[in-house]
Amino acid sequence: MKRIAGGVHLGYVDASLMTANKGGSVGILARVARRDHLAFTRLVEAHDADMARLCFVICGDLELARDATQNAWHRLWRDPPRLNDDRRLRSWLLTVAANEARQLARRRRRGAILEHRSARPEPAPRPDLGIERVDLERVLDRISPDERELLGLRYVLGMSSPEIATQLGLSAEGVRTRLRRLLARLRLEMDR
Amino acid sequence: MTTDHPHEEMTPFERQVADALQSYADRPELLRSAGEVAANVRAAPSGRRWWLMPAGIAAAVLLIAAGLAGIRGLEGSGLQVARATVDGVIYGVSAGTSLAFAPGDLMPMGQVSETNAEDYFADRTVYAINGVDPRRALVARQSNQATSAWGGEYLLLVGPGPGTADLCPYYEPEAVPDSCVREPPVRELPDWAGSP
Repeated sequence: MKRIAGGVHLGYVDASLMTANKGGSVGILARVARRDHLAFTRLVEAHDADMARLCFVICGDLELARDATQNAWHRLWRDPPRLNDDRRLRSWLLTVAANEARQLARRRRRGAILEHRSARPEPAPRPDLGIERVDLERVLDRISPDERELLGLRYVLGMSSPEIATQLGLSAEGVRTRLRRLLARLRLEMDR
Repeated sequence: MTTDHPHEEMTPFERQVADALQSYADRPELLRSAGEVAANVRAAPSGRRWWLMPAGIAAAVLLIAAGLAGIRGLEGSGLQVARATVDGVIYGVSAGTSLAFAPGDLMPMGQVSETNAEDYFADRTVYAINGVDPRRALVARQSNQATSAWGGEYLLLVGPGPGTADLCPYYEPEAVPDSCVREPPVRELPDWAGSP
């Protein structure tokens, strides 16, 4: 993954997808449907890191985030979506991975592991976060997975409101409103 | 994709949140090689365990008519049934007034290429529903005109196929059709099966 100064990943492999289409060849998704391992690997290289980061923001657990991402890849391999545009694939992958992360987190919350989570020591403040005396994990624990997904899409993956709106099936204004409310709540939580 | 969008400049607080979240999410443990992911996928069992519906709901797959109870049909233009074509598949268009979706339930799938109910669509984008075969059902955002006529936010596009029981989790609690909550009938064994 290439990175820019702000720490945002550049999905450079999208260019390779376009190259595949420019050449008049079959889209990468169709190639995956035909069990083209190279095409599948290229997609993993392009999207796995972003999917895993989003999943981690949603569920707050490294193991679950990896499982959710893996499940999304498994689903793509077994049952590729019928998308009429390869560029929609990123959106599809992020959505499936996010749904998996939510479901796994929900399942884990119901299970005995909850005790382990609640018993874990409070993490020490991390000066590298740039927000003084703020325990980001504590704040994330207090908001819903849907809200964490919104934060992840906007501030980790760097998507714009219109992009998020398309991703979540909302209006851009609706996304902006939710973000405004969420930021106000975060500020409140952080001030506590 | 970048964090800075011309019309969405971040406030200092947002920038702090973004930096903190990026630092939080950048874990080396999350980075895997593509080969590892691909190997895991190939090694995984082939069953559809990731998105199997509960048995009771799966048993209701054949009850399409009952499954659609509570969804009001549209009248299209004149007396024609409202239809929309997506990716070559013709769907019937209904008002999804009894359906509710959370963010993340819907994923953009494509565009309506042809319809006789243009006025009902806010735009031509259609969304696949998580866990629902897109050939069976899709949704689209409905126009203000449609919303003021019958309420709700979405149009339901029902495709060909045996049923739409996968939609059961998306009905509003007070509108869940019987087919979604009814237990599957117990199959009686023939006499010759007997008990050991």
